[in-house]
Amino acid sequence: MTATLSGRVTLDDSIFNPEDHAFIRDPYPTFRRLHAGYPVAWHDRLQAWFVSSHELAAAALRDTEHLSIRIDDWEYAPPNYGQKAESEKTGFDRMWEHSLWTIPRDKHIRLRRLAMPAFSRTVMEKIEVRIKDLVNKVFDDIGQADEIEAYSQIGRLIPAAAIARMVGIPRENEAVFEGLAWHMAEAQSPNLSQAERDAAMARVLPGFEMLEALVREYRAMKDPGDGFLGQLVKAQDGDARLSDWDIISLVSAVLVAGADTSIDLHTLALRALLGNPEQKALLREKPELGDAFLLESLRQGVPGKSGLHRYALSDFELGGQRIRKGQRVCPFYSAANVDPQQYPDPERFDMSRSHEGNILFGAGPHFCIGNMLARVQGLLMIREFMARFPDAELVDGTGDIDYDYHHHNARRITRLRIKTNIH
Amino acid sequence: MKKWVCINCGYIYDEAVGIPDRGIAAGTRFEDLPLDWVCPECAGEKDYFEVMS
Repeated sequence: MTATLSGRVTLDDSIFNPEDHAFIRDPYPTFRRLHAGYPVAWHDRLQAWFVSSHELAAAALRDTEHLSIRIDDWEYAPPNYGQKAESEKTGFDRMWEHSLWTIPRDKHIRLRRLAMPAFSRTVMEKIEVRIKDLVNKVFDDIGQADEIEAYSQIGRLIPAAAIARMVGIPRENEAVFEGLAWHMAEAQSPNLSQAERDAAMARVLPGFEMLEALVREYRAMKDPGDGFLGQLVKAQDGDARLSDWDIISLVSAVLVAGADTSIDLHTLALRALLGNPEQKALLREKPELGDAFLLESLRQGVPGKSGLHRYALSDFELGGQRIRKGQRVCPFYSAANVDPQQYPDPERFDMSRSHEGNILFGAGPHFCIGNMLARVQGLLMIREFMARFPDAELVDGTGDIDYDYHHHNARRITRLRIKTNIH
Repeated sequence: MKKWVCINCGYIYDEAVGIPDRGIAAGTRFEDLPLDWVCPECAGEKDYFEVMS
Protein backbone atom coordinates (compact mmCIF):
# COMPACT_ATOMS: atom_id res chain seq x y z
CA MET A 1 0.00 0.00 0.00
CA THR A 2 1.33 3.45 -0.83
CA ALA A 3 0.21 6.23 1.47
CA THR A 4 0.85 9.76 0.27
CA LEU A 5 1.10 12.83 2.51
CA SER A 6 -2.63 13.34 2.13
CA GLY A 7 -3.20 9.75 3.20
CA ARG A 8 -4.29 8.78 -0.29
CA VAL A 9 -4.11 5.06 -1.06
CA THR A 10 -2.84 4.52 -4.58
CA LEU A 11 -2.68 1.57 -6.93
CA ASP A 12 -0.44 0.85 -9.86
CA ASP A 13 -0.34 -1.89 -12.48
CA SER A 14 1.79 -4.10 -10.26
CA ILE A 15 -1.19 -4.38 -7.89
CA PHE A 16 -4.07 -4.32 -10.38
CA ASN A 17 -3.95 -4.19 -14.16
CA PRO A 18 -7.23 -5.08 -15.90
CA GLU A 19 -5.41 -5.79 -19.16
CA ASP A 20 -2.95 -8.23 -17.62
CA HIS A 21 -3.49 -11.69 -19.09
CA ALA A 22 -2.71 -13.44 -15.82
CA PHE A 23 -5.40 -11.36 -14.09
CA ILE A 24 -7.94 -12.16 -16.82
CA ARG A 25 -7.20 -15.87 -16.49
CA ASP A 26 -7.29 -15.87 -12.69
CA PRO A 27 -8.42 -12.67 -10.95
CA TYR A 28 -8.52 -14.05 -7.43
CA PRO A 29 -4.90 -13.28 -6.38
CA THR A 30 -5.50 -9.64 -7.40
CA PHE A 31 -8.74 -9.49 -5.48
CA ARG A 32 -7.08 -10.89 -2.36
CA ARG A 33 -4.52 -8.05 -2.59
CA LEU A 34 -7.24 -5.44 -3.12
CA HIS A 35 -9.29 -6.66 -0.18
CA ALA A 36 -6.25 -6.80 2.08
CA GLY A 37 -5.08 -3.24 1.51
CA TYR A 38 -7.05 -1.28 -1.07
CA PRO A 39 -10.77 -1.10 -0.28
CA VAL A 40 -10.85 2.34 -1.97
CA ALA A 41 -7.77 3.29 -3.94
CA TRP A 42 -6.69 5.66 -6.72
CA HIS A 43 -5.20 4.08 -9.85
CA ASP A 44 -2.77 6.56 -11.38
CA ARG A 45 -2.64 5.16 -14.91
CA LEU A 46 -6.37 4.53 -15.16
CA GLN A 47 -7.23 7.85 -13.48
CA ALA A 48 -9.99 6.35 -11.38
CA TRP A 49 -10.87 5.34 -7.86
CA PHE A 50 -11.50 1.60 -7.55
CA VAL A 51 -13.90 0.57 -4.80
CA SER A 52 -13.35 -3.12 -3.99
CA SER A 53 -15.11 -3.33 -0.63
CA HIS A 54 -18.64 -4.68 -1.02
CA GLU A 55 -20.03 -2.36 1.64
CA LEU A 56 -18.43 0.72 0.07
CA ALA A 57 -19.19 -0.28 -3.53
CA ALA A 58 -22.87 -0.74 -2.60
CA ALA A 59 -22.84 2.63 -0.81
CA ALA A 60 -21.27 4.30 -3.85
CA LEU A 61 -23.92 2.86 -6.17
CA ARG A 62 -26.66 4.25 -3.92
CA ASP A 63 -25.01 7.64 -3.37
CA THR A 64 -26.76 9.90 -5.83
CA GLU A 65 -25.86 12.99 -3.80
CA HIS A 66 -22.12 12.73 -4.54
CA LEU A 67 -21.92 10.45 -7.56
CA SER A 68 -23.42 10.73 -11.01
CA ILE A 69 -23.72 8.14 -13.77
CA ARG A 70 -23.45 10.88 -16.44
CA ILE A 71 -20.17 10.72 -18.30
CA ASP A 72 -20.55 14.48 -18.88
CA ASP A 73 -19.74 14.94 -15.18
CA TRP A 74 -16.29 13.41 -15.66
CA GLU A 75 -13.30 15.77 -15.66
CA TYR A 76 -12.22 14.11 -18.92
CA ALA A 77 -15.69 13.89 -20.50
CA PRO A 78 -15.44 13.16 -24.23
CA PRO A 79 -16.33 16.34 -26.16
CA ASN A 80 -18.90 14.64 -28.37
CA TYR A 81 -21.12 14.03 -25.35
CA GLY A 82 -21.64 17.80 -25.00
CA GLN A 83 -24.26 19.96 -26.59
CA LYS A 84 -24.50 19.85 -30.36
CA ALA A 85 -26.49 21.95 -32.79
CA GLU A 86 -29.80 20.29 -33.63
CA SER A 87 -28.75 19.75 -37.26
CA GLU A 88 -25.56 17.93 -36.18
CA LYS A 89 -27.23 15.45 -33.84
CA THR A 90 -27.09 11.78 -34.76
CA GLY A 91 -29.38 9.02 -33.56
CA PHE A 92 -26.83 8.28 -30.85
CA ASP A 93 -27.00 11.89 -29.58
CA ARG A 94 -30.80 11.81 -29.50
CA MET A 95 -30.86 8.50 -27.65
CA TRP A 96 -28.29 9.87 -25.22
CA GLU A 97 -30.39 12.98 -24.45
CA HIS A 98 -33.29 10.72 -23.41
CA SER A 99 -31.20 8.05 -21.78
CA LEU A 100 -31.64 6.68 -18.27
CA TRP A 101 -27.94 7.51 -17.85
CA THR A 102 -28.29 11.22 -18.57
CA ILE A 103 -31.71 12.52 -17.58
CA PRO A 104 -32.20 14.22 -14.19
CA ARG A 105 -33.69 12.40 -11.23
CA ASP A 106 -37.33 13.55 -11.64
CA LYS A 107 -37.34 12.50 -15.30
CA HIS A 108 -35.61 9.24 -14.41
CA ILE A 109 -38.40 8.38 -11.97
CA ARG A 110 -41.03 9.32 -14.56
CA LEU A 111 -39.39 7.23 -17.28
CA ARG A 112 -39.05 4.15 -15.08
CA ARG A 113 -42.66 4.54 -13.90
CA LEU A 114 -43.96 4.72 -17.46
CA ALA A 115 -41.73 1.84 -18.55
CA MET A 116 -42.60 -0.46 -15.66
CA PRO A 117 -45.63 -2.12 -17.32
CA ALA A 118 -43.42 -3.22 -20.22
CA PHE A 119 -41.25 -5.12 -17.74
CA SER A 120 -44.19 -6.53 -15.79
CA ARG A 121 -44.60 -10.22 -14.93
CA THR A 122 -47.34 -10.59 -17.56
CA VAL A 123 -45.17 -9.24 -20.34
CA MET A 124 -42.19 -11.28 -19.11
CA GLU A 125 -44.31 -14.47 -19.16
CA LYS A 126 -45.24 -13.79 -22.78
CA ILE A 127 -41.61 -13.11 -23.58
CA GLU A 128 -40.51 -16.30 -21.84
CA VAL A 129 -42.49 -18.34 -24.37
CA ARG A 130 -40.72 -16.62 -27.27
CA ILE A 131 -37.30 -17.01 -25.67
CA LYS A 132 -37.95 -20.68 -24.95
CA ASP A 133 -38.35 -21.22 -28.71
CA LEU A 134 -35.07 -19.46 -29.27
CA VAL A 135 -33.24 -21.57 -26.65
CA ASN A 136 -34.75 -24.76 -28.08
CA LYS A 137 -33.55 -23.77 -31.57
CA VAL A 138 -30.02 -23.19 -30.26
CA PHE A 139 -29.99 -26.70 -28.76
CA ASP A 140 -31.70 -28.24 -31.79
CA ASP A 141 -28.87 -26.86 -33.93
CA ILE A 142 -26.33 -28.50 -31.60
CA GLY A 143 -28.24 -31.73 -32.03
CA GLN A 144 -26.39 -34.90 -31.07
CA ALA A 145 -22.87 -33.48 -31.25
CA ASP A 146 -20.14 -35.12 -29.17
CA GLU A 147 -18.70 -31.75 -28.20
CA ILE A 148 -20.02 -28.21 -27.75
CA GLU A 149 -18.11 -24.94 -27.65
CA ALA A 150 -20.28 -22.98 -25.25
CA TYR A 151 -19.32 -19.41 -26.24
CA SER A 152 -19.95 -19.67 -29.97
CA GLN A 153 -22.74 -22.26 -29.90
CA ILE A 154 -24.74 -21.02 -26.88
CA GLY A 155 -23.53 -17.83 -25.13
CA ARG A 156 -23.05 -15.70 -28.20
CA LEU A 157 -26.32 -16.78 -29.83
CA ILE A 158 -28.94 -16.22 -27.15
CA PRO A 159 -28.69 -12.74 -25.52
CA ALA A 160 -29.14 -10.26 -28.39
CA ALA A 161 -31.71 -12.52 -30.07
CA ALA A 162 -33.60 -12.77 -26.74
CA ILE A 163 -33.82 -8.98 -26.51
CA ALA A 164 -34.91 -8.83 -30.16
CA ARG A 165 -37.72 -11.30 -29.33
CA MET A 166 -38.64 -9.26 -26.26
CA VAL A 167 -38.82 -5.99 -28.20
CA GLY A 168 -40.59 -7.62 -31.15
CA ILE A 169 -37.96 -6.87 -33.81
CA PRO A 170 -39.02 -8.33 -37.18
CA ARG A 171 -36.78 -11.26 -38.15
CA GLU A 172 -35.48 -9.46 -41.24
CA ASN A 173 -34.11 -6.68 -39.02
CA GLU A 174 -32.49 -8.89 -36.38
CA ALA A 175 -29.01 -8.54 -37.94
CA VAL A 176 -29.18 -4.72 -37.78
CA PHE A 177 -30.47 -4.95 -34.22
CA GLU A 178 -27.60 -7.24 -33.23
CA GLY A 179 -25.13 -4.69 -34.65
CA LEU A 180 -26.69 -2.15 -32.34
CA ALA A 181 -26.45 -4.59 -29.46
CA TRP A 182 -22.75 -5.35 -29.87
CA HIS A 183 -21.61 -1.76 -30.24
CA MET A 184 -23.88 0.18 -27.86
CA ALA A 185 -21.86 -0.60 -24.73
CA GLU A 186 -18.62 0.26 -26.53
CA ALA A 187 -20.05 3.59 -27.69
CA GLN A 188 -20.61 4.55 -24.05
CA SER A 189 -17.39 3.17 -22.60
CA PRO A 190 -14.95 5.60 -20.97
CA ASN A 191 -12.29 2.89 -21.36
CA LEU A 192 -11.93 3.48 -25.12
CA SER A 193 -10.02 6.11 -27.06
CA GLN A 194 -12.01 8.82 -28.83
CA ALA A 195 -11.38 7.19 -32.23
CA GLU A 196 -12.58 3.80 -30.99
CA ARG A 197 -15.68 5.37 -29.43
CA ASP A 198 -16.46 7.34 -32.62
CA ALA A 199 -16.21 4.12 -34.64
CA ALA A 200 -18.57 2.35 -32.24
CA MET A 201 -21.04 5.26 -32.42
CA ALA A 202 -21.04 5.13 -36.23
CA ARG A 203 -21.80 1.41 -36.15
CA VAL A 204 -24.96 1.88 -34.08
CA LEU A 205 -26.67 4.45 -36.33
CA PRO A 206 -28.42 1.97 -38.70
CA GLY A 207 -29.92 0.30 -35.63
CA PHE A 208 -31.39 3.57 -34.40
CA GLU A 209 -32.91 4.27 -37.83
CA MET A 210 -34.55 0.84 -37.78
CA LEU A 211 -35.92 1.40 -34.25
CA GLU A 212 -37.30 4.85 -35.17
CA ALA A 213 -39.22 3.31 -38.05
CA LEU A 214 -40.49 0.47 -35.86
CA VAL A 215 -41.75 2.80 -33.11
CA ARG A 216 -43.52 4.88 -35.77
CA GLU A 217 -45.20 1.73 -37.03
CA TYR A 218 -46.47 0.92 -33.53
CA ARG A 219 -47.70 4.52 -33.07
CA ALA A 220 -49.73 4.18 -36.26
CA MET A 221 -51.43 0.95 -35.12
CA LYS A 222 -55.01 1.16 -33.89
CA ASP A 223 -54.14 -1.41 -31.23
CA PRO A 224 -50.39 -1.79 -30.63
CA GLY A 225 -51.04 -4.78 -28.38
CA ASP A 226 -49.80 -5.73 -24.93
CA GLY A 227 -46.27 -6.76 -25.86
CA PHE A 228 -43.17 -4.83 -24.89
CA LEU A 229 -43.33 -2.05 -27.51
CA GLY A 230 -47.12 -1.95 -27.38
CA GLN A 231 -46.97 -1.30 -23.63
CA LEU A 232 -44.39 1.46 -24.07
CA VAL A 233 -46.33 3.17 -26.86
CA LYS A 234 -49.51 3.10 -24.75
CA ALA A 235 -47.80 4.02 -21.45
CA GLN A 236 -49.44 7.00 -19.81
CA ASP A 237 -49.05 8.75 -16.47
CA GLY A 238 -51.59 11.58 -16.28
CA ASP A 239 -50.88 13.58 -19.43
CA ALA A 240 -47.34 12.26 -19.66
CA ARG A 241 -46.41 9.76 -22.38
CA LEU A 242 -43.17 8.34 -23.61
CA SER A 243 -41.68 10.04 -26.66
CA ASP A 244 -40.21 8.01 -29.54
CA TRP A 245 -36.69 8.69 -28.28
CA ASP A 246 -37.68 7.81 -24.70
CA ILE A 247 -38.70 4.39 -26.03
CA ILE A 248 -35.58 4.00 -28.17
CA SER A 249 -33.41 4.96 -25.19
CA LEU A 250 -35.15 2.30 -23.07
CA VAL A 251 -34.52 -0.38 -25.69
CA SER A 252 -30.92 0.82 -25.83
CA ALA A 253 -30.64 0.57 -22.04
CA VAL A 254 -31.76 -3.05 -22.15
CA LEU A 255 -29.28 -3.73 -24.95
CA VAL A 256 -26.35 -2.16 -23.11
CA ALA A 257 -27.25 -3.88 -19.88
CA GLY A 258 -28.26 -7.22 -21.28
CA ALA A 259 -26.82 -8.18 -24.66
CA ASP A 260 -23.06 -8.24 -24.37
CA THR A 261 -23.04 -8.88 -20.61
CA SER A 262 -25.44 -11.85 -20.76
CA ILE A 263 -23.00 -13.79 -22.94
CA ASP A 264 -20.91 -14.22 -19.79
CA LEU A 265 -23.95 -15.35 -17.79
CA HIS A 266 -24.32 -18.36 -20.10
CA THR A 267 -20.67 -19.40 -20.19
CA LEU A 268 -20.13 -18.84 -16.47
CA ALA A 269 -23.29 -20.78 -15.58
CA LEU A 270 -22.20 -23.74 -17.71
CA ARG A 271 -18.68 -23.69 -16.29
CA ALA A 272 -20.09 -23.55 -12.75
CA LEU A 273 -22.56 -26.35 -13.45
CA LEU A 274 -19.99 -28.72 -14.88
CA GLY A 275 -17.14 -27.68 -12.61
CA ASN A 276 -19.11 -28.38 -9.42
CA PRO A 277 -20.75 -31.81 -9.71
CA GLU A 278 -22.20 -31.72 -6.19
CA GLN A 279 -23.90 -28.40 -6.95
CA LYS A 280 -25.22 -29.81 -10.21
CA ALA A 281 -26.72 -32.70 -8.25
CA LEU A 282 -28.25 -30.23 -5.80
CA LEU A 283 -29.76 -28.18 -8.62
CA ARG A 284 -31.22 -31.32 -10.16
CA GLU A 285 -32.74 -32.20 -6.80
CA LYS A 286 -33.96 -28.66 -6.08
CA PRO A 287 -34.73 -26.86 -9.35
CA GLU A 288 -36.22 -24.00 -7.34
CA LEU A 289 -32.61 -23.00 -6.60
CA GLY A 290 -32.16 -22.05 -10.27
CA ASP A 291 -32.18 -18.31 -9.63
CA ALA A 292 -29.69 -18.68 -6.76
CA PHE A 293 -27.54 -20.82 -9.04
CA LEU A 294 -27.43 -18.02 -11.63
CA LEU A 295 -26.65 -15.36 -9.02
CA GLU A 296 -23.81 -17.49 -7.63
CA SER A 297 -22.48 -18.09 -11.17
CA LEU A 298 -22.27 -14.33 -11.70
CA ARG A 299 -20.76 -13.72 -8.27
CA GLN A 300 -18.11 -16.39 -8.13
CA GLY A 301 -17.42 -16.42 -11.89
CA VAL A 302 -16.24 -12.77 -11.94
CA PRO A 303 -17.41 -11.56 -15.36
CA GLY A 304 -16.08 -7.99 -15.17
CA LYS A 305 -12.49 -6.82 -15.23
CA SER A 306 -12.84 -3.16 -14.23
CA GLY A 307 -16.09 -1.87 -12.78
CA LEU A 308 -19.08 0.36 -13.20
CA HIS A 309 -18.45 4.05 -13.74
CA ARG A 310 -19.54 6.98 -11.65
CA TYR A 311 -18.34 10.60 -11.56
CA ALA A 312 -18.00 12.80 -8.46
CA LEU A 313 -20.39 15.74 -8.35
CA SER A 314 -18.49 17.38 -5.47
CA ASP A 315 -15.58 16.69 -3.15
CA PHE A 316 -16.51 14.00 -0.64
CA GLU A 317 -15.11 11.17 1.45
CA LEU A 318 -15.47 7.47 0.75
CA GLY A 319 -13.84 4.84 2.94
CA GLY A 320 -11.46 7.42 4.40
CA GLN A 321 -10.36 8.64 0.97
CA ARG A 322 -10.91 12.18 -0.32
CA ILE A 323 -12.62 12.08 -3.72
CA ARG A 324 -12.40 15.27 -5.80
CA LYS A 325 -15.20 16.70 -7.93
CA GLY A 326 -15.02 15.37 -11.51
CA GLN A 327 -12.99 12.27 -10.69
CA ARG A 328 -14.06 8.84 -11.91
CA VAL A 329 -15.12 6.34 -9.27
CA CYS A 330 -15.47 2.67 -10.22
CA PRO A 331 -17.57 0.53 -7.89
CA PHE A 332 -15.60 -2.62 -8.70
CA TYR A 333 -18.46 -5.11 -8.49
CA SER A 334 -16.37 -8.12 -9.48
CA ALA A 335 -13.97 -7.53 -6.59
CA ALA A 336 -16.82 -6.58 -4.25
CA ASN A 337 -18.66 -9.80 -5.09
CA VAL A 338 -15.78 -11.83 -3.69
CA ASP A 339 -15.17 -9.63 -0.66
CA PRO A 340 -14.76 -12.04 2.30
CA GLN A 341 -16.43 -9.47 4.57
CA GLN A 342 -19.65 -9.98 2.58
CA TYR A 343 -19.25 -13.57 1.36
CA PRO A 344 -17.34 -15.96 3.66
CA ASP A 345 -15.04 -18.29 1.73
CA PRO A 346 -15.80 -16.20 -1.37
CA GLU A 347 -13.92 -18.29 -3.92
CA ARG A 348 -16.09 -21.33 -3.25
CA PHE A 349 -19.17 -21.85 -5.45
CA ASP A 350 -22.16 -22.35 -3.18
CA MET A 351 -25.62 -21.58 -4.48
CA SER A 352 -27.05 -22.12 -1.01
CA ARG A 353 -25.27 -19.08 0.41
CA SER A 354 -27.20 -15.88 1.06
CA HIS A 355 -27.19 -13.34 -1.75
CA GLU A 356 -29.18 -10.81 0.25
CA GLY A 357 -27.99 -7.27 -0.41
CA ASN A 358 -26.07 -8.37 -3.51
CA ILE A 359 -24.98 -5.86 -6.17
CA LEU A 360 -24.86 -8.37 -9.02
CA PHE A 361 -27.29 -6.23 -11.02
CA GLY A 362 -26.17 -2.95 -9.47
CA ALA A 363 -28.02 -1.07 -6.75
CA GLY A 364 -29.92 2.16 -6.35
CA PRO A 365 -31.72 4.06 -9.10
CA HIS A 366 -29.68 2.50 -11.91
CA PHE A 367 -30.40 -1.08 -10.90
CA CYS A 368 -30.28 -3.16 -14.09
CA ILE A 369 -33.55 -2.65 -15.97
CA GLY A 370 -33.08 -5.93 -17.86
CA ASN A 371 -32.26 -8.13 -14.88
CA MET A 372 -35.46 -10.20 -15.18
CA LEU A 373 -34.83 -10.90 -18.86
CA ALA A 374 -31.28 -12.04 -18.11
CA ARG A 375 -32.51 -14.36 -15.39
CA VAL A 376 -35.29 -15.79 -17.55
CA GLN A 377 -32.95 -16.61 -20.45
CA GLY A 378 -30.28 -18.00 -18.10
CA LEU A 379 -32.76 -20.33 -16.41
CA LEU A 380 -34.23 -21.53 -19.69
CA MET A 381 -30.76 -22.27 -21.06
CA ILE A 382 -29.51 -24.15 -18.02
CA ARG A 383 -32.68 -26.26 -17.72
CA GLU A 384 -32.57 -27.19 -21.39
CA PHE A 385 -28.87 -28.00 -21.19
CA MET A 386 -29.39 -30.27 -18.17
CA ALA A 387 -32.33 -32.01 -19.84
CA ARG A 388 -30.45 -32.70 -23.09
CA PHE A 389 -26.96 -33.39 -21.73
CA PRO A 390 -27.36 -34.79 -18.21
CA ASP A 391 -23.89 -36.41 -18.22
CA ALA A 392 -21.92 -33.60 -19.84
CA GLU A 393 -18.40 -32.77 -18.63
CA LEU A 394 -15.80 -30.08 -19.25
CA VAL A 395 -13.15 -31.22 -21.75
CA ASP A 396 -9.98 -32.10 -19.78
CA GLY A 397 -11.82 -31.13 -16.59
CA THR A 398 -11.27 -27.43 -17.34
CA GLY A 399 -13.12 -26.84 -20.61
CA ASP A 400 -9.84 -25.91 -22.35
CA ILE A 401 -10.90 -22.39 -21.53
CA ASP A 402 -9.67 -19.23 -23.27
CA TYR A 403 -10.49 -15.53 -23.00
CA ASP A 404 -10.79 -12.42 -25.15
CA TYR A 405 -7.90 -10.46 -23.69
CA HIS A 406 -8.93 -7.26 -25.48
CA HIS A 407 -12.58 -6.89 -24.48
CA HIS A 408 -13.21 -3.37 -23.22
CA ASN A 409 -14.84 -4.46 -19.97
CA ALA A 410 -15.44 -8.19 -19.62
CA ARG A 411 -13.32 -11.20 -18.70
CA ARG A 412 -14.96 -12.72 -21.75
CA ILE A 413 -14.67 -16.48 -22.06
CA THR A 414 -14.35 -17.21 -25.78
CA ARG A 415 -13.69 -20.93 -25.55
CA LEU A 416 -15.34 -23.41 -23.22
CA ARG A 417 -15.34 -26.96 -24.57
CA ILE A 418 -17.91 -29.43 -23.27
CA LYS A 419 -18.14 -33.17 -23.85
CA THR A 420 -21.80 -34.03 -24.19
CA ASN A 421 -21.37 -37.76 -23.33
CA ILE A 422 -24.63 -38.67 -25.08
CA HIS A 423 -23.20 -41.56 -27.13
CA MET B 1 -53.64 -1.73 4.03
CA LYS B 2 -51.97 -1.03 0.68
CA LYS B 3 -49.34 -2.61 -1.50
CA TRP B 4 -46.51 -0.54 -2.97
CA VAL B 5 -44.38 -1.48 -5.96
CA CYS B 6 -40.80 -0.39 -6.64
CA ILE B 7 -40.73 0.97 -10.18
CA ASN B 8 -37.00 0.23 -10.33
CA CYS B 9 -37.15 -3.52 -9.88
CA GLY B 10 -40.75 -4.60 -9.28
CA TYR B 11 -40.35 -5.46 -5.58
CA ILE B 12 -43.68 -5.25 -3.73
CA TYR B 13 -43.99 -3.91 -0.21
CA ASP B 14 -47.20 -5.22 1.37
CA GLU B 15 -48.19 -3.15 4.42
CA ALA B 16 -50.25 -6.03 5.78
CA VAL B 17 -47.21 -8.31 5.82
CA GLY B 18 -44.37 -5.86 6.53
CA ILE B 19 -40.84 -7.33 6.44
CA PRO B 20 -40.52 -9.09 9.81
CA ASP B 21 -37.02 -10.42 8.93
CA ARG B 22 -35.84 -6.84 8.71
CA GLY B 23 -37.65 -5.61 11.78
CA ILE B 24 -40.62 -4.09 9.94
CA ALA B 25 -43.74 -5.35 11.66
CA ALA B 26 -46.88 -6.45 9.83
CA GLY B 27 -49.22 -3.49 9.52
CA THR B 28 -46.47 -0.86 9.08
CA ARG B 29 -47.70 1.78 6.66
CA PHE B 30 -45.35 2.77 3.85
CA GLU B 31 -45.50 6.38 5.02
CA ASP B 32 -44.21 5.26 8.43
CA LEU B 33 -41.09 3.61 7.04
CA PRO B 34 -37.99 5.75 7.76
CA LEU B 35 -37.18 8.43 5.17
CA ASP B 36 -33.87 6.73 4.40
CA TRP B 37 -35.48 3.29 3.94
CA VAL B 38 -34.55 1.71 0.62
CA CYS B 39 -35.97 -1.13 -1.46
CA PRO B 40 -34.64 -4.45 -0.14
CA GLU B 41 -34.19 -5.76 -3.68
CA CYS B 42 -32.54 -2.91 -5.59
CA ALA B 43 -31.82 -0.28 -2.90
CA GLY B 44 -33.97 2.28 -4.72
CA GLU B 45 -35.16 5.13 -2.52
CA LYS B 46 -38.75 5.62 -1.31
CA ASP B 47 -39.44 7.96 -4.23
CA TYR B 48 -39.26 4.93 -6.50
CA PHE B 49 -42.31 3.30 -4.91
CA GLU B 50 -45.90 3.85 -5.93
CA VAL B 51 -49.22 2.47 -4.77
CA MET B 52 -50.35 -0.59 -6.69
CA SER B 53 -53.66 -0.07 -8.37
